[in-house]
Amino acid sequence: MTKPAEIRGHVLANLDHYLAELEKQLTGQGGKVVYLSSADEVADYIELLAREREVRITGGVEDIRRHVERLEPRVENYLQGESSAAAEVLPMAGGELDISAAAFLVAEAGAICLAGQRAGGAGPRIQIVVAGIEKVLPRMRDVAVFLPLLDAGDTRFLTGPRRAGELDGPEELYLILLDGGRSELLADVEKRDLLRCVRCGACLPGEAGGDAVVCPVGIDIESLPLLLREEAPAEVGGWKFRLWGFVMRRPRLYEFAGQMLRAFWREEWGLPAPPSKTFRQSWREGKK
Amino acid sequence: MTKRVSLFVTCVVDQLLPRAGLAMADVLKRVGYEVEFRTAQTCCGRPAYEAGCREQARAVGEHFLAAFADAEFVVTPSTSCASMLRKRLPELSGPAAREVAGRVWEFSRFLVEIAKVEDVGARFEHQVVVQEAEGLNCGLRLLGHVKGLEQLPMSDWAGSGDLWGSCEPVSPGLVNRIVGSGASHVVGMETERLLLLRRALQRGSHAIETVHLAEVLASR
Repeated sequence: MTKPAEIRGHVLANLDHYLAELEKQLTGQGGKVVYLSSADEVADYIELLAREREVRITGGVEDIRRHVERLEPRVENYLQGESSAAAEVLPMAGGELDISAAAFLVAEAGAICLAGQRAGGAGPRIQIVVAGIEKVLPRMRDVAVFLPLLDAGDTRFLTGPRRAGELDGPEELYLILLDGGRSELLADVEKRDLLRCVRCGACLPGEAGGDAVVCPVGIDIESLPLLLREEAPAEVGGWKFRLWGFVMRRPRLYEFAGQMLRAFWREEWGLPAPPSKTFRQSWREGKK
Repeated sequence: MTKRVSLFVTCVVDQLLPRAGLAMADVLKRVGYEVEFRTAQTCCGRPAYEAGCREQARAVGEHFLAAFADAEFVVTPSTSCASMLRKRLPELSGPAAREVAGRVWEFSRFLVEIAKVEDVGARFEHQVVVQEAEGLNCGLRLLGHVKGLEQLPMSDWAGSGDLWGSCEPVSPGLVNRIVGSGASHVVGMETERLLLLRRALQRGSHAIETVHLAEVLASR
């Protein structure tokens, strides 16, 4: 079993086994393994932990939750191009506590593989790793099959907190295994294969070039993401886009809407203030 | 006979970043093109496509196709809108769309591959970092000929999620790395992310400016 698609299929069919093995190994090596069901729970957990350890973290629970959703998005969100491919660390409290995403977890070794990180350095005192339950791989050598798909740059392996005599590594290591709707997905025969995704990004808009893309882990990307995309409108509020589509097919109405945008612009929208004139206004004036 | 290009400035540039559109027109004129702007244009349909509303994305995309049906070259300042029109719209709209969409060019790619110019005679005496974007290669080649411009290295842009248009907030890590690079300007080709980045830099009271590639190429 050396092909990425085979390995991922095998893992999903035996997910409970590999998660139990991972937990046993990592716990034996001094790490702490926690199962949580949502990003909200993760944020609460981290906030409480930081308070107990008297680590001051910037921002509140809401910031942590948003960060966790970025780090470890649901597969559906990821495949719709809503989140980044590679992980990013959020260092908090001046290097005291880091929240990172795992590229992979290795059951046999009780190891966490962090990708896209600078090598070396002492690292944080408290290392928290958030990983979707599907991130697990059976053996260390499987990592070698998947890492090349990720274009990950530097990688770091964590197998537990720092032991006596070791020069670096965190004093405390927490692995948060996040469900976040994944076990529901696993139970859905049509969509289960989405959990094979290792976030290589080959199929994402802006990456693939729209030509035929072969998913390295055997997800039917021609149909599955489309299925997801067509389910989405009910959630995003179909009427808003119907209104938007109505306006965007009527240039005069669109221009009027642009003036309304200027008149009612609010700081909270998160975009810079619109300049006083639109492109088309400036263009018309230039042509006179 | 002068060659003619039609601008598709995108809704974002029309409403929020008109300077980029005007600069793009200037550069295209400078390299010998007659530039037109069709007022029927609005949006490429990408917001709906990304939200999963394929029906509205197709409807707005077809409005685009009608507006530019007879344009020989359509040039746009946004990498992700170019990508929407060239790659996604044909999936939604069929073979007719492929034909029109094939005539859509992202600005930097148009200059390098169609106009076949890399040195547009620009001068921009600043230290910059360049925003990661799809098809960045052409943009980098153009920047390589800008006098006085020094491009500073910045790692890890790709890891920040800042690759193509989306409404995700800019990550604090990316802002920190940009500030750490020592650059005075961020040069970009993906307009939506560039605007969000501008906002994030303003919020953090950083004096770093965000400019579109066209603005750099237009300055002398």
